[in-house]
Amino acid sequence: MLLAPAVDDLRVIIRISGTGVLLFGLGIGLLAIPALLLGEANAATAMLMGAAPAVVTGVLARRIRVTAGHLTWTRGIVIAATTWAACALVATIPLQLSGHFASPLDALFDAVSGLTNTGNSLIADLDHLPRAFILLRSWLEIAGGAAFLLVGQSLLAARRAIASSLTPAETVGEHFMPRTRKGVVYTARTLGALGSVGIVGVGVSLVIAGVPLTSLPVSTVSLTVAAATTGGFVPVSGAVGAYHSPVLEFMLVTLMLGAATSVGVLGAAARRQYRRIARDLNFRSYVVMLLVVIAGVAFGLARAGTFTTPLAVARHAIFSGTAAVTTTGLSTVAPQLFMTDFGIMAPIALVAGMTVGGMLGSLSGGFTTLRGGLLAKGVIGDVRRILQPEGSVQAIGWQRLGRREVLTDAHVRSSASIVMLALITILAGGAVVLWSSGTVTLRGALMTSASAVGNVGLDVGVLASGQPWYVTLVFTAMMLLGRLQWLAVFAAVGFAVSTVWGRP
Amino acid sequence: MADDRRRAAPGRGGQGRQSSRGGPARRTEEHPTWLRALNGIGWVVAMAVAVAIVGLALSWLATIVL
Repeated sequence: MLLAPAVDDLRVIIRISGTGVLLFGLGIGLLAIPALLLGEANAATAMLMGAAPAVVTGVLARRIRVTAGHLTWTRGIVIAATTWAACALVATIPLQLSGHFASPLDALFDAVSGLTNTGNSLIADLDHLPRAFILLRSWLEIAGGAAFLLVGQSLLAARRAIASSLTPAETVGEHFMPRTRKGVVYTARTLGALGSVGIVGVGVSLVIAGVPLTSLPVSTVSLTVAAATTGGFVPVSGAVGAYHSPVLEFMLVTLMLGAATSVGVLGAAARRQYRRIARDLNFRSYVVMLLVVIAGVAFGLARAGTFTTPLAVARHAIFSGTAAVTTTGLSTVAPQLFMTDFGIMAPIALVAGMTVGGMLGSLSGGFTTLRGGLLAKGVIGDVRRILQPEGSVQAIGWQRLGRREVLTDAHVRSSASIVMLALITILAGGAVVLWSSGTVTLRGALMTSASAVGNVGLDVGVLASGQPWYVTLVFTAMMLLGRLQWLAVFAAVGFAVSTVWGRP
Repeated sequence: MADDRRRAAPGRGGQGRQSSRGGPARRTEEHPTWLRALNGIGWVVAMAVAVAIVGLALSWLATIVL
């Protein structure tokens, strides 16, 4: 029997979601200032028109009175899903007004892509997009990334045992603070340091690469945010390779690695606790996955014979492999070349990397390396059990930033359920792409699907402006499912159903 | 609990700076300041260099083997 939520639940959800939408809308409204400074009056108007409904909705929502109460897990999940959806609708308004989208659905796709730090885009004529909209795209990545970490920490405050959903206890490792405010400050400092270093490094790299001073500030912000939030939106159609700058590529690889490293591990690194990091299962799985994918891409490229020198192979293998595992989705080659020049093995390695993703507790998507590591430990445990004498009991241990844990069936089960859901969604997305077009290969369909579910956004030329509406709709949903990690979406849908049909 | 206390004791795994020898077990750690957070970024740069070197070695091996 479904029980309808209490009125107080709905009040809290509307009030907090409204606050999120209000802040998000104010951010869009503030973008009118750089738009005017850049001489883009139409873009400034579009920003204000997008901000207005968000601010009005937010102010009205904040007038709702609520009784004091803690944030429960269910409320948190519903608030997260509602805020994400509402912010995506708000961002659709200025994006559609840019005139660079074939339909409002395409604009919604881009809004969701930005807010889920995916990076896929259906923008038509990207090279002539007003710079203010490039900044809007960056704002979506910042807001989405910050919300992802904030929501994880807020929900943690309500329930620690959340390993199967959203950002788990590894968000700030063992340094998780009971009060969310401290957790936010902790995360902001760490990621703020990464972003500050990134802005300087990417800016200098772009100057060396010969980028004109007029487009330098917007390009610097856009590329830094793309790499440091794993958002992956590039303001030029020719991908990062268009800049022809190995220095820039190294800077972006550094930022991508930092963004896909859990905040807890970054904090441990700041304290020079290197031994703890080296023994951390989340980190170990991350390093193994990175090296396996880079090796797979390197051997695949060498096999394909497109690049003949070790330096050329290394450049593309390191960048593409890192972009896949960190779920950033930046690339050094134009989208179509993944299908024509990368052979068979390299794309398969990239699909594997995108599906697994970066570290749990970081900004990256995918089912995350910790879950992969726990599953691998589970398999090792099963094999050991077979080899041991009957009746003997042996515990399998793993470490989480210096804390010893014993592998339990619950760990393996929760990891397996997320991995299974990810694989099913990837296959379903691939089937939709194959159904929609007779020319897309299975490799292309799987790469595109894994890229959306893992919130990677690696463009292989399959998704484009003017594609069938149902493909856009399905992939928009897939990006949200990947970001909110399935179970959170299911919980939110269950809440909505119980609100309508539940008994009071 | 006992294990936690033992781990928090000074002189183990480079954690001794936070408390004096024989003092009470460390309960919480201070959060990194902006400046200390940069240590973490330095570590990320070192990781990127390591990834680049290993990636180069793998690519060299791949072009030799295939």
